[in-house]
Amino acid sequence: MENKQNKRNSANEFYFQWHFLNYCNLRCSHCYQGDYNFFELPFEKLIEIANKIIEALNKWNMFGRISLTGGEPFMSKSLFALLDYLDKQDRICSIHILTNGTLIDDEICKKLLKYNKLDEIQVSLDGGTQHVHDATRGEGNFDKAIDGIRLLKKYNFKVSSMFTITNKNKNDIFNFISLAIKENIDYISLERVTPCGHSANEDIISSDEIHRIYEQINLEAEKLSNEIAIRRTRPLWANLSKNSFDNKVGGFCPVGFTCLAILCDGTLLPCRRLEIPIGNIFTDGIFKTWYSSKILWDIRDKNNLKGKCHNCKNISKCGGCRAVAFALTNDYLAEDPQCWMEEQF
Amino acid sequence: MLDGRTILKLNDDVILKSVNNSFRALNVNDGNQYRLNLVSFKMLENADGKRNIDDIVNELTKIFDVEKTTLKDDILLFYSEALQKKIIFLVEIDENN
Ligand SMILES: C[S@@+](CC[C@H](N)C(=O)[O-])C[C@H]1O[C@@H](n2cnc3c(N)ncnc32)[C@H](O)[C@@H]1O
Ligand code: SF4
Ligand code: SF4
Repeated sequence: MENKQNKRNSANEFYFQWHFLNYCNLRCSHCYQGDYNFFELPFEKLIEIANKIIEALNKWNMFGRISLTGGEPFMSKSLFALLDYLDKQDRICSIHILTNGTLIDDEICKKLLKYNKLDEIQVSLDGGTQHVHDATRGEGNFDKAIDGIRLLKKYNFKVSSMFTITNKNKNDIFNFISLAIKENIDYISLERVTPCGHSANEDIISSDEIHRIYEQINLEAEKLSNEIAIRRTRPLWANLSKNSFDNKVGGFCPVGFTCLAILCDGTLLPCRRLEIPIGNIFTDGIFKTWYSSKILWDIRDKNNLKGKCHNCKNISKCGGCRAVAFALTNDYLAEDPQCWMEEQF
Repeated sequence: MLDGRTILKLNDDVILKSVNNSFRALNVNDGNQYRLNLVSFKMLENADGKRNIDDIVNELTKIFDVEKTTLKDDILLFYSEALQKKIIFLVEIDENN
């Protein structure tokens, strides 16, 4: 982190996933969030958080990528004022909004156009067909999300989509990929559900099945690479990379190294899905949390990883998902329970 | 001026961390972080507010293969830099005790 470069590059970027409100117009069945009681800090408090982020970036000589999310960010009364503020900051290099897409209209798109650093809007789709998406996200919400995506594309935004793989939608993956191509979505990600928080009882997909699903997605990604970019840089994908120079497939999770999640009341988590509070941005601050959290230090030392992950040849490009490990075993250092690799000695 | 009788203490806001042969001092208050080597890490670790610099030099010569005089020169230089950076503080000794 004592990086002396002043130009942006992937080595000097830090990612903040900021769930700046928890209010939402939907109640998706897989959502980790359990509490949707309206909670959004007053604008001055949001600016206090933003300033703490900028202070940390300045100190570390890093640039910040921020995802503004919730809850549903387009329900916030402060979203545009917050964007005004963040967009002006030299230390912030990229802003994304993660949304369910159902509230986007022309007026919103026009307002969003002025933000130079808003370089991606992610709309969640949990199905490639109406009935599958709506089974998770509620009736009528597929059409609304697609309308939202079309509007964003009309205004030339870069649009991505996240498909969270569950038992409900695992057979709709090809439809989702076709839909994404048809709707000119720029990037898509398909990632397994983490059974945490409110979704702790979500049926987990077996490692054999995850293997089959990931393999199919990987084949599609290669076959369709001229039509759509399918992101495969989170844990487990490394098992499918062709060789160690393949940097499109696989990636060590940045938890503990270059990312933090901030909840609507300032609680800090290593990652939104690794639901172990490590501090609060108001009372502890970023530095104290980042430097003194035992959990973060445990995760930073790859030698601490247990089971199959410990000796794995793919560890530098994977490391397993610490959130899935914690959700399923109560041990954030355990091997990733959904990994299909044989143990290596 | 520091000498062998000086007693120093690590700033309460500073955490010392070693992971995978990388050594750091991290200030949780102002966010400053300093890269260290094993020797400077041990020098800070020993700044416990109780033992003086001569005691620490004796201790460290048991671990590192180095002449006492050389180590003392190094430690005095390093501690004065660390003092300036507020990584450590001088402990006042009540001369009447
Ligand atoms: C919490 S939502 C917030 C933004 C917006 N409301 C939306 O639905 O996109 C952000 C993303 O997290 C995903 N998500 C929610 N619960 C999850 C879980 N238990 N495991 C994995 N992803 C989850 C959602 O599907 C969505 O893509
Ligand atoms: S996944 Fe997003 S849209 Fe669905 S309930 Fe959670 S916050 Fe709301
Ligand atoms: S054993 Fe662990 S590090 Fe190796 S591929 Fe599986 S999840 Fe990734």
